[in-house]
Order: sequence, then C-alpha cells, then structure tokens
Amino acid sequence: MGFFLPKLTQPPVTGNAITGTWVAFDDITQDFIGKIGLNEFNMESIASFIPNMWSRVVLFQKAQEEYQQGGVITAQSQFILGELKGLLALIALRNAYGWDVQMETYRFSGRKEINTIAKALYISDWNEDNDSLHLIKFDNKIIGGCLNSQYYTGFFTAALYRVEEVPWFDAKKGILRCPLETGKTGEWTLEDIRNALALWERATSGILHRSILSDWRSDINASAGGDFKVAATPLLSLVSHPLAVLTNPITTNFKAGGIFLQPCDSGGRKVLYYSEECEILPITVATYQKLRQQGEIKQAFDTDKMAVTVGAGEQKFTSAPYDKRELLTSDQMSSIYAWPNFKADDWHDYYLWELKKNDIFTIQPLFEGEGEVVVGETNVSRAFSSKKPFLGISLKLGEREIGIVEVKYKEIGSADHGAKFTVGLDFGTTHTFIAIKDEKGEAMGLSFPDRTIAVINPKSGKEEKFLFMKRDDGDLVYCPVADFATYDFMPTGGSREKKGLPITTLYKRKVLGPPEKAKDSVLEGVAVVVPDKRFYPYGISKNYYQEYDVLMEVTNPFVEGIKWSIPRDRHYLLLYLEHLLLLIRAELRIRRCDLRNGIGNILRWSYPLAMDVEQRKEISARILGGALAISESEAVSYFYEAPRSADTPGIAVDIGGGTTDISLWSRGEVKAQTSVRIAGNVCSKYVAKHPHILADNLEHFSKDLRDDDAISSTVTNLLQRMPENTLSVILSRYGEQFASFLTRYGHTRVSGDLSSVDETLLPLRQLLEFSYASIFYYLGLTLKSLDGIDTRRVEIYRAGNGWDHLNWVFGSSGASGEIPGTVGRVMKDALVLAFGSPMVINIRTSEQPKQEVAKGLLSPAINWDIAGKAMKENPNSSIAIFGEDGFEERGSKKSFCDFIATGTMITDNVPDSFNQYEKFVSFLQNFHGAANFQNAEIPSSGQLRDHIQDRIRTTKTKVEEPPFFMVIATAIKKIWKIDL
Amino acid sequence: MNRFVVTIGGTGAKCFEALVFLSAAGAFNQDVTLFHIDPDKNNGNWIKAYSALLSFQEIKKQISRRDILGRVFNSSFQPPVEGMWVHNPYPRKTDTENYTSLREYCGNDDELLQLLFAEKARNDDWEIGFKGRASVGSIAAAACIKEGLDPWDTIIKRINSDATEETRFFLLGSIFGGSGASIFPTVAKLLSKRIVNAEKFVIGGSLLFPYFRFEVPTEESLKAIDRTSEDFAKPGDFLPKAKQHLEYYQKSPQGLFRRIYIVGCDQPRFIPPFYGGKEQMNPSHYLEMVAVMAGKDFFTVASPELKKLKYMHLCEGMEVGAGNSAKQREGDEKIKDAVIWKIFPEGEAIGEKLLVFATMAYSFLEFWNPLLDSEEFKRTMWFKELIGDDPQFREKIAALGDFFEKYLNWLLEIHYGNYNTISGGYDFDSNMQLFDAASIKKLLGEVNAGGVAHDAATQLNRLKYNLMKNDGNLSYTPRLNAPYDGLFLWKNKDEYEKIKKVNRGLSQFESLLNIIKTTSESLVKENYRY
Repeated sequence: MGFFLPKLTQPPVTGNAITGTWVAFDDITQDFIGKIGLNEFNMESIASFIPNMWSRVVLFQKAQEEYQQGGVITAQSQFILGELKGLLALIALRNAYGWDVQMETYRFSGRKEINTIAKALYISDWNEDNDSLHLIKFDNKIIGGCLNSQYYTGFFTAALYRVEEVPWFDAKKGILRCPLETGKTGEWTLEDIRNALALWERATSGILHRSILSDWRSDINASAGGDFKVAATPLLSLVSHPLAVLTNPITTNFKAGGIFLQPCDSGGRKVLYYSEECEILPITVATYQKLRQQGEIKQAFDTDKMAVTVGAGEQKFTSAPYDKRELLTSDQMSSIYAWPNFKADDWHDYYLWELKKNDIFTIQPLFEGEGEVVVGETNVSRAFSSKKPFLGISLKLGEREIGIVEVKYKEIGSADHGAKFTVGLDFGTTHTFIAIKDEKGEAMGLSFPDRTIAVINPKSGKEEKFLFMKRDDGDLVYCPVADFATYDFMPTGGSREKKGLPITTLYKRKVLGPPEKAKDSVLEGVAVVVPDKRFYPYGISKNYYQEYDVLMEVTNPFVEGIKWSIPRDRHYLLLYLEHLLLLIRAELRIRRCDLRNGIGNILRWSYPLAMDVEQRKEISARILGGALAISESEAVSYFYEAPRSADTPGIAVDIGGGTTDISLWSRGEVKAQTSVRIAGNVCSKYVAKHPHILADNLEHFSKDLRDDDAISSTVTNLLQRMPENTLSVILSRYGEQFASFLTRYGHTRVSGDLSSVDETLLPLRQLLEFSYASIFYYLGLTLKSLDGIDTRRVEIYRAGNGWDHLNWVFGSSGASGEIPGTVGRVMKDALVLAFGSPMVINIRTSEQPKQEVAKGLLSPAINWDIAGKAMKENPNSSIAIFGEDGFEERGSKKSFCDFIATGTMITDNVPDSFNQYEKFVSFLQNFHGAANFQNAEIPSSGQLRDHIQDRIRTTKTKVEEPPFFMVIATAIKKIWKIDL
Repeated sequence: MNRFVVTIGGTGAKCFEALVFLSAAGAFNQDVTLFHIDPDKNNGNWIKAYSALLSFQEIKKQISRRDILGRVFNSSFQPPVEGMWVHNPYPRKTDTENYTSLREYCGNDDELLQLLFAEKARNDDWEIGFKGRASVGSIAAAACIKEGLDPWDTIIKRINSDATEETRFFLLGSIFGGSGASIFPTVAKLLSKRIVNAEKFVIGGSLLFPYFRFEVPTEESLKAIDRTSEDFAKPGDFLPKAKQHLEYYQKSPQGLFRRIYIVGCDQPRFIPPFYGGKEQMNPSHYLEMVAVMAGKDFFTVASPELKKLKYMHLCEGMEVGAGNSAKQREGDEKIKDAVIWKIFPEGEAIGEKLLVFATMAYSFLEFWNPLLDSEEFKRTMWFKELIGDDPQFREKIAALGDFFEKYLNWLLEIHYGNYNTISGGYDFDSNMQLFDAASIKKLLGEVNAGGVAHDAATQLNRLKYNLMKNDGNLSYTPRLNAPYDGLFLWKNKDEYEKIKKVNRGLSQFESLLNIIKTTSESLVKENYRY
C-alpha cells in the first residue's frame, strides 16, 4: 500500500531505543504541508473546503500571492488565475464593446447576523470605511465579486455562475477560462484580449491593483446613486487611464536579448520550470547534464543566453542559422534543448533534445497560410496586423524540424500539413506500443528516438524524472505506465533523505554503451538491481556506469494500482497518457500531419476489458481527444483479420503484463469475451513473494562473486533461461524485496539447484492452469452452441508479451513461436473437454510479437460505427448464457443475480438444468490440471454464492462478465486469495 | 487549572470514546470539563461514545473514594452546562428551532450566496452535518459563539470569572471533514476574542488527518436508495481538504492557539461507506487514542512552553540495537508499519494500563459476573469478608459489565477495523500489534455467547490469555505453579489480607472493583514481562 501522508523525519538515533515523543515541526509548510499533493479537484469542492465563508476570496488571495511571490504556483492557483484572466478579459473589454458588465456595491442589507458573521470570519478585520464588496454581473447575472480591502484587493469569480454568452465560458466545468487558452474570442479580436491580459500582467504586475480600483471608484463617486453601471466607452484614449493600453496596438513583441519575452507569444501563459516562474520559455538552451549534476539547473534557464540574432529594430525579426558551437567552447557536455509543453496545467514537461557539438539549428517564424517560411527578415508586426496571423516558431535541427512552439489559439493548418495518418495506441502495464499508418496503408511502429520526457515535480521543484522514449527492439516505447508511476513522482514524494524511506536504487541501464562491454553482458537490455549503490551491475565498471547515470529510483508501491484500482493514482495514468500524446503530436507535426480536426480523429486506442467503463470514458474524453477505442483482444482479432472473414471461429488471446483479454469470434461477431487480471503480473508477483526462485541467481551480482568466471558462467546460464522482460519487470517492481533478501541471507542461499524452484512454482502453475483452462472450457461450451458453423475447427490467435512469462513458468516446448508447452495443452484440453468431441486447433503466432494490438487498431476492416460497442458497454444489456447442452438463451444479469440469491432462475426461457456451479464442479473434476486439486479447498456452492453476490455488487457498473467467469473468478479468490 | 476537552464531529466522537476508555483505565488521568460538538445529532459515532460515557458516569457514581483504585476510574468528567454533553452548532431560529439550511439562515439572500457558495452548500439540509463543506460549517460555528448562547456563554463567563486561574482548552477533530475542520479554527478564533486574560488562557488541539477511506457506492446502486454520490463525503478529497485546511490555519490569525498536534498515519483503513447520521459508526482506530494522548501532553506541558504556537507531530519510537538498526528496521516493511506500544509517548506505560484493564474486563465478564449469581458462592466466608452482601448489588454492577464489554469491543475494533470491501466484514489489521487481537476476539466471542460455565480454576487459567505477545511488546511468560489459595483467586495469603484490609469500609461495589483490579494487576505482573 502506498504512503498516504508524507513521512516525517525521525530524530537521530542515540542509545538503544527511542521512545515515542511529540516533536515540533521546524517548518510545517516545508516539512509537511508542502508535501501533500492536491490530486485532482474541482473548484466547487475546493472552495467549500476552506473553513471560512469567504473561501473563494481566500483562494484568490492565495493564488495572487503565489503569483506575485514567484516560485511554485500550485495547480489550484493556476486554475484560479485562469478563471481570473477569463473574468478580467471580460471586464476589461466591456468598454470597447459595450457588453453589459455591471458592478454593484453590495450592502449587507439582509440579515444582520450574516453580516456580523461575514465580517467576523473575514480573514482580517473588516473596516467599514475603507473596505467594500462589489458584485460583478453580466447580463444581470452574478459572475463574480470585487473586494477592496487590506486582505485582498481585486476580483474573484462567484461560486456559481453561468454566462454562456461569453465565448470562453466553459459550460461543462461552469467556469470562465482564459480566452487565449480556449481560442474562443467571440466578436473580439485576439489582439484585444491579449492586450487586456497584457494589461493585467504588465501594467499591474500581475494583480489588479488598487490603483485601477481607485479609478473605478471615482466612477462610483461620480454616479449619484451609489450603485453604478460602467459606461461602454468605445475607445479609451486617455493615456493616463490604465485601461487605455487596451487599445494600443502591440508591435514590440520581440526585443534584443531574448525572444518572445512578451506575453503574446504563447498566449500570455507563464510556465514553471524548475520551480522558477518563467515569463515565457518557448525555446531555451541549457548545458543540461552538467548543470544538473552541479545542481545549478536554475541558472541554466537564462534566456539571455539565447544567441538568436535579432535585427536592430525592435519591430524586425531576423531568423538566421545559429551555430551552437559557440556555446560549447568549454568542456561542457552536450546541451539539451527544451520545448515546453503548454498544455500541461499542473506538471510542466519539456521535450529535450540532446545535441552534438556540430549541430546547427534555426528558428523560423510561422504564419498561417504561408507554408514554409523563408529564412530571412520578417516584419513581425505584420503578424498582428495582417490577415495572416503569427502562429509560432519552428525550430530546426539541420534540416529536420524538431519542434514547433505554437501560439495556442489555433492549430497550425497550412496546406503543408495535410498528411493523413492514423495512430494506434496500446498502452500496456509493462510495455507501450504505438503504431502509425500513412495513406499507403502500412502500419509501422512509431518510436521517439532520442527524445525524453522530463517531468518536474512542482511540489518540490527539484525532483526530475527522465524517461527516454527510446527505440528498442520491435519499436517498443520503453516507457510503460508502470515506470511512470514511481514513488518520487507521486504527490507525496520528496527527497529520499528527508523521508527516510526504504528506497533501493534501481538503475535501468538503457544504454549499454561500447559494444565491447555490451557483448560481455548477459544482461542486454534488462534492468539491474543495485541495492544501496554498493555494487554495480554485472560487467559494467563504476565509472562507466556513472557516465550513463540514467535513471530512476523505483519503489513501486503505487504501481499496482496505477492502471486499475486506485482512483487517486489514475491521475498519473492520465498524466502519462498526456505526455505520450504530446510526443505523438510532435511526431505527427514532423510528418506534417493535418491535426486541424484534433488528434482524437486520427488516434485509436485499446483497453483491457477489465478496465471499467468510467475510466475508459475519462481517458478518451479528457486526454485522447475523444479517440475511438476497442478492447485489446478485439484489436488482436483485427490484426489477424481472419476471425471476421473466415468460417472458422477464432479465439484472440492477448496476454499482457497486467491482463489477459480473450474474445471468441465467429463471422465477425463477438460471441464471448472476458478479461482477467492474470497475466505476466501474476508471475512477477509470485516470484517476488518467493524470492528464492531468483535469489539463487541474483546472488551472483555480489561484487565478490562477479569476477569469478565459474560463477559468472552459472549466472549466465540461469539468467538466460528467463525471458528478458520477465526479469526486467520483476526486478523493477520488486527490486527492493530482492535486495533486502539478498542482504539478509547472503551466500547461503546459492544452490544452483532449481528443483526447489519447480516445487515452489507449483501453486503458480496451478493458478494459471485453472484460470486459462476454465476460460477455455467456457469458450468450448460457447463454440458448441454456435449454429451453422463448423466448430470442430478453431484458431487461437496469440498476442502480447505475457506469453513469455508462461513460457518461463511452464517451460517452453522448444520451438520458437510455439505456444508454451503445458499451458497450451491446458487450453486445448479444456476447449475439447467442453466441446465434447475432437477438434482441430491451430495456434497462430504473429511475427510481430507485442505489436498485434496497436497494429490491429489500424485495420481498415474495423467498422467504427459498431466496433467497441460490444455487449459489455451497456451494463443493462443482456448477456449470453450457454447451457451445458448447447442451449443458448438470453438472460438478463438481474435474473442471474436472482438465481445466485435464490438458487432459482426466474426466467421463462432458461432451462432448469442451468446451473453454473454444477458446470464449475464438472470442470474441476475433469480439466487437465484436476489432479493437482485433489487436496485443494474447493469452495462450496453456498460459499461461491456469497462471494458472487459480493462480486456482482462491487463490480456492478464496472465490468460485465458471463456468469461462469464470475464463478471461476470467485473460486480463484477463494482458493488463491487473488482478487481478479 | 481549568481543563476543557471539546471533541468535534464524527472523528471527534471517536476521540471522545477513546478518552473515556483511556480515562477508565487510568491512562488519561485528568479532571476535565468535557463536551462534544456535532452538527449531526444522530451521528452513530457519537451515540456509541455517549453510551460509553453514560456507563462510565454510572460507575463513577458508585465510587466514593477516588484513592482506592489508583488511577483506574479516577478521572472525572463534567459537562460545561448541566446535562449538556453535546452541542449542535446551528444558528437558532427560535429557542427550540434551528435553521435548516444555510440559505434559510442567510435570509435567502441569493446574491451573496451565489457569490460565495456553490449550490449544494447553500441548499443542503443541515440535519446530517456539513458533508465536508467547511465553509458552511464555519458560519454555523460562528453563529453559536455569541453572548447568551450556551454552552459557550457559560464557558466564557466561567473562564473570565477567575482570570487568574490558568485555563487550557483542548479541541479534537478531523482536519479532513466538515465539522471538525470548520469548527476547530472558528471556536479558537472567536473564543480568543472574548477571553479577558489572554495570559492565562491557551488553546490546543489534535487534528486528525485522513486515516480511513471508503468506496463511494456507484450511482446506480445509490439510485435505489434515492441518493447520489453527492450525498457522500469523498475520500479522494480528504487529503486535499486537509492540506487546504492546514494552509488556511497557517495563514489566518491563530488566536490563542498554542499547540496543534498533527495526528495521522500513512495507511488509511477501509471502512464501509456511510451517508451520515446513524450510518456513521466507524470502527475505532488507534489514532483516536493518539489524539487523546496529545491532549495529555498539552495538559501536562509547562506553561512557559505554551507561549508560542507550535505544530507538533508524533515522532514514533523504535527499538535500536545490534541486528535491529534503524536502517534495517525501515527496510523491513513488516516492522516499519507495525503499531506497537513503543511508538507512542509513554507507550509502554499506557499499554500496561490498558492491559490490566483488559484483564479486569475479562475477569469480570467471564468469572465474577457469573460467580456473583451463585448463592453458594455468596455463602463463602471470603465473599463475606471481602465483599459482603448487598441486595442492590446486582443492579449496581450492571453498568460495570456494560462498560467492560464496550471496552473490549473498542480494543477489538482497533485491531479488527479493516473493512473488507468484498466480504463486507472486518478483517484483522496485521499492522496492529498492541494486543493479541485474536485472543481478545476469542474472549469477547465467549462473552457475547453468554459466557462459558467453567470452574473457577479453569476460568483463572483462561485469564492468562496471551493478550500481548508480539515482538518488542509486553510478552507472556507462563506462570510456574503460582501458589494460589484454594480458589486460585489471589496469588497468596498476603495478597488476600491486603485486599481484605483495603476493602474494609468500602462499598460492595468498590470492594469488588478493588479485588478485580488488584488481582488483575498481580496477574499481569506475573505473566507479562517487559
């Protein structure tokens, strides 16, 4: 289980014992509050959390305080500032366009008591003479307030308002947003709004200062009645009036010494980088690695170091080739170029490119409709006066465009960006694969060579995370979601020293370096556990290792739930996907893909059926732009294409790192499908709980032993028996346990004899046998019930990397690509057992292991009108129930629940003989592994019934599954204590 | 010194309950003015805590001499106003009627309400609490702390009437809910404004961070009971709320707050989802005990220490030594998360007191209670010598049985409070190593089953249940042929004579308690080593 609250520092240990004691915080903000993450929130809730009736004001005050002080701006405050910008843009523009924005003085004329309390709960004393509250109304509906007091002076939005006439009002969330972020400006020009916000940012140093209010107040005084309505003035020409700047054209957006320092460049947004609020950093340079090592990364982000040639006049912008060698005259290591992600609201991520010394890059402005921009002089002011607005800049490395900093209000959409692509995304627990297909129709793996996602933890401002999106065998993106969710990036993370947490450093060696070293290592491409940095990976010298000090610290209490069970952690899944999407977008940009209609239109993704519908919808809607999705096994079936065209039924089996998705197809229709959370993960977990299975092997990593040729040879042999990804996953997840085990037991556990391992693996094998056999037993029953099809033949389509785990657990039959020996037999036998007569079963394996799902998503055969809308989508839909005699009926879930509750199925059309438990018992007695269950505690019918009722209750809206699967899942829970 | 303890909201009620039991066992030994604030007057947690209090008070009535039992049943509680153990913090419409919603209270001033409160907050029925909306709770609390309204009026007058007497005021509540989080700072703020001698008045409090969570039922299942998830507190919000609240406390004027104890754990337990009202009956948790212990610290710390506000946290104790270094300890998950007595301030002493009291509880329920029904027993010489007959005796000890049973259940909940979302039952929390919970469960099972008729010798042997046995804790040592007398009730003749001497002049009820306490102490001393 994960840590819920930040761990507090223990006092130094003296003597033999410490008794518990109460200790005062030195700095509760830094030591405690700052470490608590906010996760996701909505404004309505957050405001009501504050124990003060002025809660909204408190929030606005806090946001502005953060803004003014610099440093970390919390996600919450960013949100508030966005709202404020939306409100301010509206208020400021009322003058030019005469919109009905009113400001009324509020008088506590209602109940006397609330007046007293409102003032009593005010954060500092209310001064009747100087302090005032105004209501801001739009079209006579309240949208906010304006407070003028010692504590807070400025605007704030109301707790509840609806102003749907305002283009940047987000009706879904019920908030005003910064218009520049939404790109919706209504009848106003972008410049107007930009200027309005520039006023806020520039003329008032970020807050609506009381000087502005004083002007407003003079208006109030001028009006006789007290309550007033601000007159709609067409143009404020008085230079002295703070709002006058609104009407001035901005032509001085670029100036020497830096680029894009003005708010207009990126929509007026500020970004955080290394906890430093930067005016805007579209592109910047850092001698990254070295500075990072020296802990001076902050200084690296000095825009003055941008050696971009700028024309003499402020209104001219000359883009010229820039030779980075100037920067690298010293012994600095290679530099990193960063491209901030303006999409990120709470975490700030950057693309980083590591450049070589001779690389040359150029920066070019982009204008809408102009296509390739000629390098040379450009009159920038034109961008804001012509019909062709300035869109952003393009960054090129040599001839290759590596980034575009775009002005947010519009997608770049010139004729040159008209390429058509579709992208398939399969994000697994342990591997992510992205396939891309162009108009020619060939699906390929999409990789992100040399790109890195760097995430800065805004909570601490210090922690960094680097995930190299590196191409590996099979074009896999080696950045699975599980790795993304490491402890340090969870909201309560902090520095290791302070927390005193039991972290074992796990270095993932992504780069093996010189070939002469690589060939010596049996650990090509796998993770290596290095407990407490005391010794180094096998075959790699200390110095060499440090040079490639890439990587991360992993303690993974959170990983288990990242994709699944812990709602709080799903946030990180979304973050992960957001990052991934960013990279995909970048790649598409480079390929000049037409993104004008949003990425959701070209992206397809897949989910395991075990993922609940709500989560699926959330991912699609919030992150993936509404991209279409189908289940993983459904995608596999499209990859093989056969199931939907041939008469032969097909069973798609996708065994991944976290789930097994199985679907039975006949003539293009899903006849049965399920998803169980038994896959590579179960193998990994099991091995982790029985460390001696691997401890024998890992022991040899000990420094003392690794130079011993004989032992090294043994280790090599042992490790070679295990597939790379199995070892990698196991070690990355459970490295800590292993390390602890090794430290404790030392050499004594080295046996070299795997017979005890086989014995230990028996329960795991039983579980896997039972699970897969029961599923296939059910599929056999289903097959038997199909009419008009020659069901004596069936094809099984393999997909996913979890098969490797099975291979290891059961032992392979030897031939490459063959279904693993024992488990293959189990599946076949169970199928035949249920079918009742001999069958011809072909097992098909693709030559592109682990890629089937993503590529299947790109199949032209998919009819997206009906795909993904299988029976499980609608929890109220009926589900197929197959009787033992092949009788098929449609029974509702409710009737099944009734059956479970009462033992009697109350439907008109289901035979009395229907009894899932009998079927289960029959299966248990006859299936391939039955002999292993002679002594197992098989749950009774009554026990199963109770558990199933619970299961129905707890998974009610999550996953729809055939009753038989409920029975077996329940049995598995009972026997193995594993909750699927 | 005037001592006030005020518990707030559902979590506060749990602390109230812990306070009662810790006091009964002698682990919290203070005379305090005590009451509970709860907007949710039917809150199940409070009903349970109040029931424990009533049993405790009933027992206290039977005890005339405070010195006899040492610290056991020594503390005394009094409400600020006669009979006012609980206070519903709602603005009153009339003397007998409260406002039912914020909207009504604000005179339907829609503009102000729309400006400051979201829709749910404005219109929610106040009957079942603030549902996590601290902004609303703050208003209710502020409305109550004013002249003429009890209990605050009486409290303030009492404190101001003798401004030379030092007063320490201790609040307990959650920082992640609605009631505790809102009333906690508001009370302190408004109280501070009305205290005459600020030099002699300090406020402290335990703030409990989220230590439980639950799964909010799905919308679909809620439809059936005509509710929506909006009606439930949201566990996902607990931590953000806690952060918000603490930040707010930090930034707003703190009044006379001098000590705020942050109480929390890093592994929240699952509990069943609850809507409020009677449904909210959460299993007890050790942190409630910790929160009360913080109160003990607050009441005993020297006055000069309380000149300035300090935020405190529990620095857990640990065992350090060869083969068990702090580092290794942290590396070992099992030990790392274990809740043992050593982690608390004075933990082992408290543990011993609770153990003695648990032994008393068991010996009464399993041994004495059935025995006292026996006419034959009452004819024995030593019954006459040590207790003596009293026709009303049976009635008088009813409260004792009731209280002991509640106490054992409380201990059990602390250990078995892990809600199993699948089975709907409670599982043992393997981190809890304060008592051997399985033994308590077994004992309690027998008590609940109506007791088992054993002979006295068997009963006594059963008293030696291994209530504590885990590593690093009080551990059990089998007693070797202890020279008990014929009935095996006391260790030896000396002990018998000692009890006899003390019991002279005591009521039957007191005598019985003295016997139970003395023999239980002796038993614990003999059978558990440190």
